[in-house]
Amino acid sequence: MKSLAYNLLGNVPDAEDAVQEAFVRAYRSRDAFRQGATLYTWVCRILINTCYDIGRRRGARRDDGVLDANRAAERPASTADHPLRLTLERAVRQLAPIYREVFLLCEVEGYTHREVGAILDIPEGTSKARLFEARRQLREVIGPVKTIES
Amino acid sequence: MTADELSAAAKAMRRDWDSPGLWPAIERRIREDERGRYSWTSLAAAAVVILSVAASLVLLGNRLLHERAAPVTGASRLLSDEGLSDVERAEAQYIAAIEALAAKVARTDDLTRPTSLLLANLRERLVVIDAAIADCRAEIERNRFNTHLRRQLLSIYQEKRRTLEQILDEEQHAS
Repeated sequence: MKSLAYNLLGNVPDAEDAVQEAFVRAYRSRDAFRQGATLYTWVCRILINTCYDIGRRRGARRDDGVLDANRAAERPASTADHPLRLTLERAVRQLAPIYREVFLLCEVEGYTHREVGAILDIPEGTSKARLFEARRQLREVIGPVKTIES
Repeated sequence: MTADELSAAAKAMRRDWDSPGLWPAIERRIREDERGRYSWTSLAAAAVVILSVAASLVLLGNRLLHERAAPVTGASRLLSDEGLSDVERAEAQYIAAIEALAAKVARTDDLTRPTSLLLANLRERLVVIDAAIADCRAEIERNRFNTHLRRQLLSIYQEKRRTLEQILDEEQHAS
């Protein structure tokens, strides 16, 4: 959950605030939790909404999705580094929210389309279509960058 | 860039770091939230109770003031003037009949003859009943339209009638 919040907000303090806020919100509205739904997907959905709220409140802190120098120092270690990671992070921030959240949930966090559908309250097919579109847009953005970097 | 390369780079975006203070902070926030909610709930409940009691007291006070201030009118009385005279007439006839019975009992009372214990008790009860009748009459004089007092007087007279009948029976049985 921290990883998802980090990729949505771009820094550790905001990510931790979002996780904390999401759990408090989930606890407050625990009566609204539907039996049959997965607790994790429900909390995850609250987390995504919380991240958007925090992002809106602190939006002025960032400049076009690029972290400022102070925040960059707060980057946690990546679980598996990759030469294209930084480029991809920038590209993902440029995606529209509906594509970004599906890409992060599927490709980064490793959820299935069924789980993503449950988290975002969308059909499985829509999740697949959004991931396809997200990949297409990312390839478009990263392709030329990669050529320059290489 | 292939889909596999993209997926491999995406996996590298997954972050992990230690946050020892995160769970305690969540726990603290939830506890504070609960405390705040309970205190507000208690405060709201107390306010509702206080307001209800205050409203009841105000209503009761108004009602008592209104009752005290309002003159007793024909409509608000328990008995109307016409009804009262009917009741008083019926009462007078009933009381006259009982007093006649009492006079008969007095005539049969032979002070020279020794009385039985039961007869002595019955005569004693008659004295108590007469005292109760006197008290009740005094109350009725203060509030002639009170049907409750009149009903009470009637029941005392019924008791007097029963006692007189018992005395007569006992007198006849003794003689």
